[in-house]
Parts: sequence; structure tokens; C-alpha cells
Amino acid sequence: MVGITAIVVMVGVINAIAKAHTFVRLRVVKECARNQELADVFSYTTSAHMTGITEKGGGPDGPPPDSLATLATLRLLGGGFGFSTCFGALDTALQLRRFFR
Amino acid sequence: MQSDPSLFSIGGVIGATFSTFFSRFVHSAPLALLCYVPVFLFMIFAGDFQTSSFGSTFENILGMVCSSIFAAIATYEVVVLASARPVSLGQTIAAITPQLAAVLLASFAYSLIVGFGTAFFIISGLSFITILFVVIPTIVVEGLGMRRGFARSLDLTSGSRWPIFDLSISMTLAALFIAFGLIMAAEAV
Repeated sequence: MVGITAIVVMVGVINAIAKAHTFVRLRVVKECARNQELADVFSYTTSAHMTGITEKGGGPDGPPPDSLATLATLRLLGGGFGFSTCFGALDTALQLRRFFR
Repeated sequence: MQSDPSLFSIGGVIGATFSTFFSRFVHSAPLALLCYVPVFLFMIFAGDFQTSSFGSTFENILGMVCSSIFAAIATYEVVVLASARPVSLGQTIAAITPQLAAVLLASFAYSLIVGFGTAFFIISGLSFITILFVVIPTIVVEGLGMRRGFARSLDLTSGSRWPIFDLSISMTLAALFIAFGLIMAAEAV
């Protein structure tokens, strides 16, 4: 009986260590995924900023290019970065998408 | 060759686990046995009470409490060591004490969920084991309560559940094999 309990204890030791190592690695995996998501948002924001304004801005139905460019730049450099890089970039991306639609 | 940190690899976890287990065996094994002292005392002194249904239930609950306390200690030590910082037992005990109630509650809830899941249909039990694989580490290391610990485990395991399932099966088999080997070696000596 004591032998069985000793086996259970050893299995418990190995399992506890395995769970801790799994946790450490999963946190790294999640952090990498989050960073990739942020990078994607930035990439989208930058490309929308660079291409959308020159292609659509200034037309008869489109918004004036100067105000759009100012808005995007202000949001990117000012409000967005001032509060939170992630939400700022996401907000800018959504604003630009709405403007250019 | 360095593995990609953005991917979860079973081999990496198994390697790290056994490396930690053998390098810290002299520390971990006595500590685990110390945590299980109440169970051993119960087995020695309970007598006929141990064979009664109430006695065996009590023994199971006692075992769960002891294993949870050890799991909390081992988890904290492994996470601190993984960040290349030194750790002492006193520091570990001070760190885990505020989280002990949440750890015990979570262990109890985990046992109920996995037990019912397995009783109704074995696949649901296995899936609960997988998605709740890191509940105790999230509570101990991130200082979460029981409910948020469960939610965090669900979040952390998402996207890596098949590898975690494979890992849990292979670790249990490997652990049983090594435990048998160690006990046989101890008996031979």
C-alpha cells in the first residue's frame, strides 16, 4: 500500500513539474501570437495610411486628403500612441477603413 | 538548434521536465514525501476506519490536499528557476501561502469536473484534463482566483490542445514507468 502511494507521489512530482513547464511555454507561445497580431494591425494601419489616402482621398466623393492625412497622422502619433499602442493602432485602422469605404 | 518559441513542442516540455526532475530529485522527492506525511500517518494509524467508505473518501481528499500543496510548491519553483532566478523553500512558501485556498478549491473543482466528465463519457473527461491542464500554475504564478484561473487555462491551452493532450498521456505513462523503476531500485538496495 505504501509502495503504491510512493508511486502516486512520484507521478505527482513529475506531473506537477510538467504542468509548470507547459505553463511557462504556453505563456511564451501566447505572447508571440499577441505580438504577431499587433504587428499585423500595425502593418494594416501603415498600408491603409500610405495607400488609401493617395488612391481615394481628394476625389469628388472622397474626403479631402489633407484632413484625412492629418487625422491619420495625429491619431497614429498623438492619441493612439499616447494611450495605448495596441488600441491606438487598431482604432486608427478602423477609422481609416470607415473613411475609405 | 533553438526551437521556435512561437510553437508549443511536446519534446521540449518532456526534456525540460525530466531534466528538472533528475537535477532536483534530492530536493523534490523528500519535499513531496514531506507533503504526503498526513496520508502516510493516516494509512498507519487509521486501522479499520481506512477500509470504511468514509475512511477511503477521507483518504482521497487528504491525498488531494497534499498533492495540491506539493503541486503549488513545485510550480512556483519551476517557474522561478525557468526565469534563471534563485529560489529558496522559505521564499516559495511565502509566495504560495496566499494562493493556497484558491489552489485547494481549484483542485477540488478540477477533480469533480474531470471525474464527472470521465464517468459520463470518457472523451469529455480527457478533454477537461487537456483544457484545464495549467489551472494550478495560473493560480499560483499569476495570483488569480479559482474562476479566473480556469478561464486563463482555457485561454492558454487554446490552439495547443492536441499537443497538450499527447503530452498528458505520454507524461503519465513515462511517470509511471520511472516511478516503478525507482521503487524497484529502492527495494533492491
